[in-house]
Amino acid sequence: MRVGRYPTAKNDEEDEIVHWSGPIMQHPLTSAPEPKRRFLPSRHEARMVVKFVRAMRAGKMRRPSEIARDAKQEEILYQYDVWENHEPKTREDMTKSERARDIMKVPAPKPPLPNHAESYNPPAEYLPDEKEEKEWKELDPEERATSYLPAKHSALRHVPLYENFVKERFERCLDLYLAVRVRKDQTKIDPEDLVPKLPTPRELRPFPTDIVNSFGPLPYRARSISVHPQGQWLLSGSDDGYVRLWEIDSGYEQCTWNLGMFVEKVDGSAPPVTIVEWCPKDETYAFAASIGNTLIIVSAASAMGLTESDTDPMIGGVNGKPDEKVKEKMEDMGIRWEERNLGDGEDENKENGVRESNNGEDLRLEDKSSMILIRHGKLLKHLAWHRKGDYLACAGKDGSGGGVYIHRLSHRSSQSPFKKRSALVQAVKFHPTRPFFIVATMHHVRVYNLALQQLVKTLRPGVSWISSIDVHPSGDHILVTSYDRRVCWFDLDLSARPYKTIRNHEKAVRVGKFHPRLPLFADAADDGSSHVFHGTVYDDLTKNALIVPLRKLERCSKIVDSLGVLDIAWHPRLPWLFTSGADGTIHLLTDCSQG
Amino acid sequence: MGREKKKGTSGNVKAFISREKALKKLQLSLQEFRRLCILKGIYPRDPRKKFEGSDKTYYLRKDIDFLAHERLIGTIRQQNSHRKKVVKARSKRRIDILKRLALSAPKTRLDHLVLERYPNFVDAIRELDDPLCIVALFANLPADHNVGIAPERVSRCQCLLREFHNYVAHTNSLRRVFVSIKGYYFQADIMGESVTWITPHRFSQILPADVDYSVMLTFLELYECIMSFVNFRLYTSQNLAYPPKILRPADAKALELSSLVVEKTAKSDVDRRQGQGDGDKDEPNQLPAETVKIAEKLAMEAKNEEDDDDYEFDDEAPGNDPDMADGDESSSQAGRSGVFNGKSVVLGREVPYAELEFCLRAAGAEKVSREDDLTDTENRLSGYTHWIIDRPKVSGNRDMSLEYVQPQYVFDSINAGLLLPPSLYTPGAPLPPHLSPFVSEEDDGGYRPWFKDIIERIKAGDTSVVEEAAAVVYTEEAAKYDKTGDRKKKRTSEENNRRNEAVKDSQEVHNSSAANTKEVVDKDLEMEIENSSHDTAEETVAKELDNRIDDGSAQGADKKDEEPEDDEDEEGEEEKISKSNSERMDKEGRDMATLMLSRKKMRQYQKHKRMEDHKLATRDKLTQKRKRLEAARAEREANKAKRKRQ
Repeated sequence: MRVGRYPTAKNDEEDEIVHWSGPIMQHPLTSAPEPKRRFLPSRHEARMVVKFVRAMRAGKMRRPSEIARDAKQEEILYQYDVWENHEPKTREDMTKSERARDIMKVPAPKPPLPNHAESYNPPAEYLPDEKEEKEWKELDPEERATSYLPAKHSALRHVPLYENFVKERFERCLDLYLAVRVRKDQTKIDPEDLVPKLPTPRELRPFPTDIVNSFGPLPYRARSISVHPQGQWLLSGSDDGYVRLWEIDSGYEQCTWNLGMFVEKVDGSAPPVTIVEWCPKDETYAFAASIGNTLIIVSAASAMGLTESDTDPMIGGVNGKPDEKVKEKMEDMGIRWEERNLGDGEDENKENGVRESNNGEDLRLEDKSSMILIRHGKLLKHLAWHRKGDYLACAGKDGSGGGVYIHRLSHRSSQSPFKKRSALVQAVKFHPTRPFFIVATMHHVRVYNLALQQLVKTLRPGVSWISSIDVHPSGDHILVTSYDRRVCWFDLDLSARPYKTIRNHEKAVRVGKFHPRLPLFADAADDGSSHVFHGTVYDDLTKNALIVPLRKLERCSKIVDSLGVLDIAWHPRLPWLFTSGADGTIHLLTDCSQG
Repeated sequence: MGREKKKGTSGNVKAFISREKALKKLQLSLQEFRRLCILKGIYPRDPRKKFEGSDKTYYLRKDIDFLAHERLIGTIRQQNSHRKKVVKARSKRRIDILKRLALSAPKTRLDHLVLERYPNFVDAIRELDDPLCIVALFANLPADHNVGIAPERVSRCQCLLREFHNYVAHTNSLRRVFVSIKGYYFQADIMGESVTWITPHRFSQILPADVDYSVMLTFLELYECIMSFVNFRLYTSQNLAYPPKILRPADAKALELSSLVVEKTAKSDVDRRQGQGDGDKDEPNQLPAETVKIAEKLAMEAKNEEDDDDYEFDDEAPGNDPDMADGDESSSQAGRSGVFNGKSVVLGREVPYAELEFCLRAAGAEKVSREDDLTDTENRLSGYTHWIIDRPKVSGNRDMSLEYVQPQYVFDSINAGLLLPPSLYTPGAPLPPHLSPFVSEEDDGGYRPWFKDIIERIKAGDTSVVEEAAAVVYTEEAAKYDKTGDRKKKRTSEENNRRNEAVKDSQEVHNSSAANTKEVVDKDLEMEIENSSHDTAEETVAKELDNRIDDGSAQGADKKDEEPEDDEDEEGEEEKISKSNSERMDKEGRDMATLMLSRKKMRQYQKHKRMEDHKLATRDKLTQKRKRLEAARAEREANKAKRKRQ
């Protein structure tokens, strides 16, 4: 190797090997004798042999050949009938634990079966058009409705490999062992079955369906309207402080009252007329209007060409006077009565220094009206007449809270029924048949018995801000509307919770009112629409009221500053509905449907 | 006041356990736990209160207690310690120990799990879908060392799937077939349960990288076991020997079901149960005639070519006595039913053999042969009734005694339950749509593809629809190649602009045909061009369009004529209006009535309404598309007729 040669077959290796190259020594390196153990069989090995033998006898150790044989036998493991001698257990035979697991077992749902679109040659209408294809491709794979894009292959040989096959099977595997299984009862319901079976609106005619007449438009919001109990005259109060009288049949503006001149101006303009309402006695022609902090009762008879004495005993006739105690209290409350009669009206006004703006003008028709002004310390929000027309309730508020006052016209006296300053009172109402007084705060409606002076009932509509209330002419039902888009019907005999809550509007519901005679009611909302309902009340106590939505009267008002319809009023006898809107127009709606 | 309740003794906390705690309790790693869950069929649950946080996975505590008693946990521990020994021996390079260890590796037996999960055989059948799909997938996967797919497992899967297919074919229990773009769906009726599975198209599958194959292999481990047991039970319930013998020569030729020998065991099921031990060695094996014939033939061929040793049966040769087989023929055929009953089919080289053979056999076909296996004698095609071909043209001479059809013919016929007219499936011709047999009446919002009606009418014995169907298919297919036609299709929907369009269209076509004379023009037009030698292509197009314009104006005139008639019917109109008004009011009333729903009901209503609306939208969309197609077709046909007249 050192000389660079390499061995071949011819070389004799024996010649090359050198066995010992050093000098041969004469004496051994150690003189120790060979130990005995070198001549004895190993005890350790003997022990191991015994161990193996024992293991083999016990069957713990198998020879490799045996192991191989067993392994081969195990190849055909599963070829016998497992179910052969197995009796399935019934629930009764199971142990408690088995039963619990059996009950909780949820079999894996089967994957949906393929539909026509998955075919290799689907009907042409199942193929996506360009737009659908683009949409599908742009979507995230997880958001796609189908995992594949339908495609048409003209022959079976053209069908390519489906690339996601392995992936889809893998996902199914994942679903099988990782997905939470929940048993869900999916009942197949026809949605129409859920809708209560109600009589069709056609059977419940007449009800207002279309706008037939309009009053206005005025350049100001028409805040409030009221129809005279005889059904010929319509009053509207608007933002400019005027109250207007319309003849319903002709749509003619009979006269106007500038009530703004009796109150202090706010920011240089008259405060709005918040509520205007006719006295409910139909032989009188007096109305009450609230403007700013003043409640004004006006006798409209003279303006309409009638003699006041015949028709308005209310304003002129004083049957009694408040005694000293009451007067004191009235002063405490900051209530002041002022009268402005036909004859002396002008002087008074001059005294008050309010008429300056009207100087130089002729005395107009409306100025001849006699009036009663009741001044309050608070800004008035709401007012309501008692059915006999003698009492008048109003609710107001100021910085320190709300207050409710009841005025008696024949005595020219006022009182505050509640000792405590109540929270913000939204609306007040006299019960039509019983001596009840109904007060709506922001969240609750409370019914008081005035005769017994106690709380009868508290209604909880569950709304966040009540906007108005109305009492059914029968006196057993109350309609509550709220700014959070709900209309609640209360049956006073049932419970303190609404009998029905209707969520029908998209914006705040301003007002809801019952028709005085017919089984109708309507609401109005800021979305510019008013909905008409049929509401039958049965004398039978076991039968609940039947409420049927009849018609959505859209576009009753344009939406101005996100305000829509502000007030509605029913005609006293006919199914006529008046709406007043933020756009200053008052509409009359009647039944125009045919067939 | 009662006694204060102890914490964790009732409610969700007691009934459920989080995965983390379960792992701690079972002393298992996450992987081992997952494997156990797969094998035992334990899945997470949804407790109402997620007491350890909403990001945790919860299991039933009872399930985990049940897992704790699983003997597989012992096996897993043994395997773990065995693995350690192997690692140690390997690092010490102790080959002898390694050899010994390799032989004594603890194995997982899953018998008891199958019994536990499916106490009844029917339970196993009911949940056979997933096992079948996975086994079918792995039967078509390439063996891959990197992801752990061993070749033996692939061949085992192939074997199991083939055995199952063989059973389905033998009992004629295949009910539905569907060729989807994903693969072949099969649905069989086994012991009153319908079992559906999908096999991929026969291509070399791509193994995606983002798939955890160990999970799939664990599933496969269980599913192999289940399939094996199920196959055994299915075969023995039919008094057939399991495993079926494999004919080596046929198997070598990948003859799928034809390479399996279905042997009848002499003893009935009950007898076999009594004398269990010697069941396997029992002789008496009867072969269905046809299999025997093939076997014989192949054996003969093999003998001629080579030594016969390799071509013996897998195990000891069964007594394949031809006489016995002949005697059995009538009985085995008598039980057979199916649309291809008594038919013999030749499969072209280009058609998927395995699937078609399975379908045809399951549909009762007497003989299924491959084109290549036909002996080259003169009357080689005698006895055959169909030739399944998937080529544009029949190559060579057509044998007039045979029906040449495309593969879809087989699938559609099986789904329809009768042999459809072969004229719809002639080679090279456009095919009618292949519809899914799994679609119920309510699916797609109740939309029915037109071909479904055609099939219904053919079923009712109305053969006149065949021509109509063929015409529809042909024109639709032709319209696909027809670009201008496509553009027209969209426009026909807007009838008002019809005239304008036609003018525009004509301009466009003029332009385009002038610019590119080679553009693919309507097939019919081409024919026309061929016929009329003196007309240039451009002129023909122009003519056609002129015709259409005339057509449009004529229609407009028609409309004008109709108008005065309307006046006469005014009273009727009024009635109609009032009727429609009242209908509208009723509908409005129904809409309004939904306002009276409570909030809960309203939510329910909206949910169902959305579903309903979605269904209707699907139906409307499909109907609209169909209408558009129909309109385009009608237009084409009208044009064609007009041109013929000229």
